Amino acid sequence: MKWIITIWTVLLLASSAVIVSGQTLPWTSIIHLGDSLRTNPKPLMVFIHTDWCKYCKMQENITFEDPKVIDLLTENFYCLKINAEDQRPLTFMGRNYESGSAGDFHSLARMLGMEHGKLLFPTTVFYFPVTQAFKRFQGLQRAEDLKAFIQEFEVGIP
Amino acid sequence: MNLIKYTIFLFSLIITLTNLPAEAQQKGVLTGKVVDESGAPLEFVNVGIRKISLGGITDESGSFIVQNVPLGTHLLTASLIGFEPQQTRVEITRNKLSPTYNFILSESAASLGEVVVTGTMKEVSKLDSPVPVEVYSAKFFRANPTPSIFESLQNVNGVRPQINCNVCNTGDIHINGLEGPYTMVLIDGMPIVSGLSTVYGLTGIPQALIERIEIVKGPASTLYGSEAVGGLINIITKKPASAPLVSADVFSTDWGDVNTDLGLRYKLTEKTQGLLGVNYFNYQNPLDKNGDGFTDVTLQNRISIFNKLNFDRKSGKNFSIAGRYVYEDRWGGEMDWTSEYRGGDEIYAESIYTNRWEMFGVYQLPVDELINFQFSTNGHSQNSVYGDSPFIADQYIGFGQMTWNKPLEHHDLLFGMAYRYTFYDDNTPATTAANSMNEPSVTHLPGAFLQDEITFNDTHKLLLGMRYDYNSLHGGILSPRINYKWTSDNKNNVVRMSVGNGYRVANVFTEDHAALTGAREVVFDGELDPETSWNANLNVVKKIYTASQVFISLDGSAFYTYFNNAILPDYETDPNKIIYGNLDGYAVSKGASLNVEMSWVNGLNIIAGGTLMDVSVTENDVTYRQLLTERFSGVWSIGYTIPSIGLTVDYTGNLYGPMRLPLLGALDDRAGYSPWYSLQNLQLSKRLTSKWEMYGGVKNLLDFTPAANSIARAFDPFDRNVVFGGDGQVVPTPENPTALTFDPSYVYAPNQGRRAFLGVRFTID
Repeated sequence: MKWIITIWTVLLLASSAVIVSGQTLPWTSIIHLGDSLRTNPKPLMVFIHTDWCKYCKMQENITFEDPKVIDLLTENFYCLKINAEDQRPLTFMGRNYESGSAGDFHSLARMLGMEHGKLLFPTTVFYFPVTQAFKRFQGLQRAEDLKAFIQEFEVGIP
Repeated sequence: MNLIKYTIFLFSLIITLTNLPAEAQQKGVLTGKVVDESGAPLEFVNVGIRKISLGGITDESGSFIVQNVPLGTHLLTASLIGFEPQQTRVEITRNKLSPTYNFILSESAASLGEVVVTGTMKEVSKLDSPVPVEVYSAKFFRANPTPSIFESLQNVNGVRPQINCNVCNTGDIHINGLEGPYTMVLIDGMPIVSGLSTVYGLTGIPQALIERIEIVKGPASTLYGSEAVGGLINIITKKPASAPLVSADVFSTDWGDVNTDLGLRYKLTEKTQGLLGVNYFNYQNPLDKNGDGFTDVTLQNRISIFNKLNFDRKSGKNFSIAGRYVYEDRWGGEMDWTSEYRGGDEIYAESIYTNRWEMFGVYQLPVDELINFQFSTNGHSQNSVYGDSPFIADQYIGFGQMTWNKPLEHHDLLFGMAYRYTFYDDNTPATTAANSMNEPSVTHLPGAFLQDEITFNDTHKLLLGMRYDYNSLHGGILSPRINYKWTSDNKNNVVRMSVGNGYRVANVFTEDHAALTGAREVVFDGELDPETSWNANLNVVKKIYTASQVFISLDGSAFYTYFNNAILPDYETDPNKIIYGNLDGYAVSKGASLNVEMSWVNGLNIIAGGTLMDVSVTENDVTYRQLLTERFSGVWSIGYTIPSIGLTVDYTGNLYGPMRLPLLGALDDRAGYSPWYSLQNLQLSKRLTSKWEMYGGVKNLLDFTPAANSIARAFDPFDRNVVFGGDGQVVPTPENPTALTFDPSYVYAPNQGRRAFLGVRFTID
């Protein structure tokens, strides 16, 4: 009997642990972004990454797991994830963007993420289509950085 | 959150709109449409009058309405991310209250990105490639700045720059214990550094223009042909789009050497972008700290100029041409040597003048298919003396290659044809015919290859390749390869397996300058066959994200390489000769390496690696350990930036296990094995402004130097007091009890002890 209780306890603990860390960022599918924006215009947070980039993974698995960051982003933003090496053409805000030809990055990632002719991974973009308010951060963003910025993000008419 | 501000604005807008008729104030309405250059409507374009905060966004048909515009002239702006914003002057008058304005927006210019080239010859990202490619950015090497790529490579696990000569400091790159000639060195994917220039070739590449260095450990002959037996080093230069406008990097150590790297991006014409890189290295301060009468470090005066042009073509296809010129004057020897003694037998020195030029380029054919033509050509002339023996050599290499890439749904085909021409001439028996007339060696090497990368799904990938070369001296050579890659669903785990074949058409003489250290004569034991190698490699990559905000990446490899026909220098049979022959037996290099990388979100980064290996030679059933090959090597790099003061601390180092050393016969009393040794460096760098950065530190913190008696009989470099017996062997005498001859090839570590360095970087983007 004792061992059954032990196993139950372990299982319970394990599952509760999963639940605790279970809250994740609700990523908006790029396919539905246009409709969402039309019905309810909200600013976007676009996360540009690649499969092989270490700091992208760190931002995804560390920064975007921070409960406060999740709260802030979920409440006020559409969160979009773009793989710069996506081989499919993507439609972003009603416009088609081609995947990069051999050896190049996706044209949408380049359009949003390039700064001084350089694309760096990860790049985090805040963008409000209604006002064209736009802010780009290249490199790893820590939870504190994002929290501070989100609370300040200016979405008023420029 | 300023959403509130926006909501208030909307509300006030609605209120004013509904109140309009009541107020009966004269206001206008602006309407219009926004399209792109092709005429397609643009949605989500912000159209408004910024000064008075009026505006709206376009709908799906590209139409906009700006209501409630006061009378007068205004500046109407249409802006959308990815497009150049446009402004137009609009006028609302009593007669024209609702004018229409249309916009045509043009896309903002975007430039190209950067990805990996090496592993499969096509550009793919590292994770995608079935071939394990290690990528090191220029920034990685900045943790321990050096005047040449040759020295920089010491920071890479499993790679050791080996100095072969205590006097002239020539070197080669050992990858996993395999010697320099087994490593193919490419610039932008072109086989440029080969033959003669492997010895001094890696010293004159301007570092300002290096984007990254890619390393493949294991053979890659299937794609790259001869020489890619043990591994591949591909130096990728910057694209004009990613290079700074101006960059300068100057650094010096307390030995008095100065290294200068300059980089410049310029526009030759509207459609032609250029990149210029200049490297100048000067060291003219003879020092003899170990007291053997010889310079500790070779004196060098070197200039290298690199220029690359990129042409923008209407078709958007690739076309670039690059050229490099290197001149170097180096000498090492007895402290009182001057150039008057060059080639004489009074005062010993090794003096080498090198003149080298290169041209290479890529042209993508203006057809729908992806067809690339690549070419390279180079000339190398070396005028050198080793004591009183001159070595004068000329080499010309021409290379052309056509590749056709055909991506299909699950297959990605690459077909290629290549041709390499090599002309080589020198003043030694290597290019002398039986009738003792000079007979330069000319080699034709046509080849064809086919590769198919099969993607079954996101998890499984298979790469099959086959190459056939016909060498005008050795005949046909077939080299197949197979690579397999498994990726876990979350992409955090990758397993790669590969089996491949490499071959090398040896021109040993040009590659092993230990042969030319003056004291030994080079002898060939019959006709040499091409060396062939078979290699199996297992690579496992695992990525872990811990709850305590640490990223850990583990990258482990196990390798096994079997050599046939290995051409090995025999230093031991006769101390006055180096006898080259095809090994009657085989050589095996096997081992395992592990790389660990840990990153914290606060910017602390630790990279540590270790390689365990066993390189052995089996001849007539007797197995012995290869000379100058360590069983263990470790490397680390720890970096941390203190953001508040913009100061970066880098601590880098190496640890090497004992190597078997080339002794001169049984009586030689020098140590048969090198000790464990470690080279450690500390650097502080501080960003002063966005343009200026200063760095400085200490190299070789532990002040390790090899034994002072590394040069045998340094006091008698011309062997005047050495007595030889009838069989060519040295006879021990009271003056020479250990039966040595002058020999600088007993070398396992650089001769420079602890030293300080200071440098400055200037960049304009």
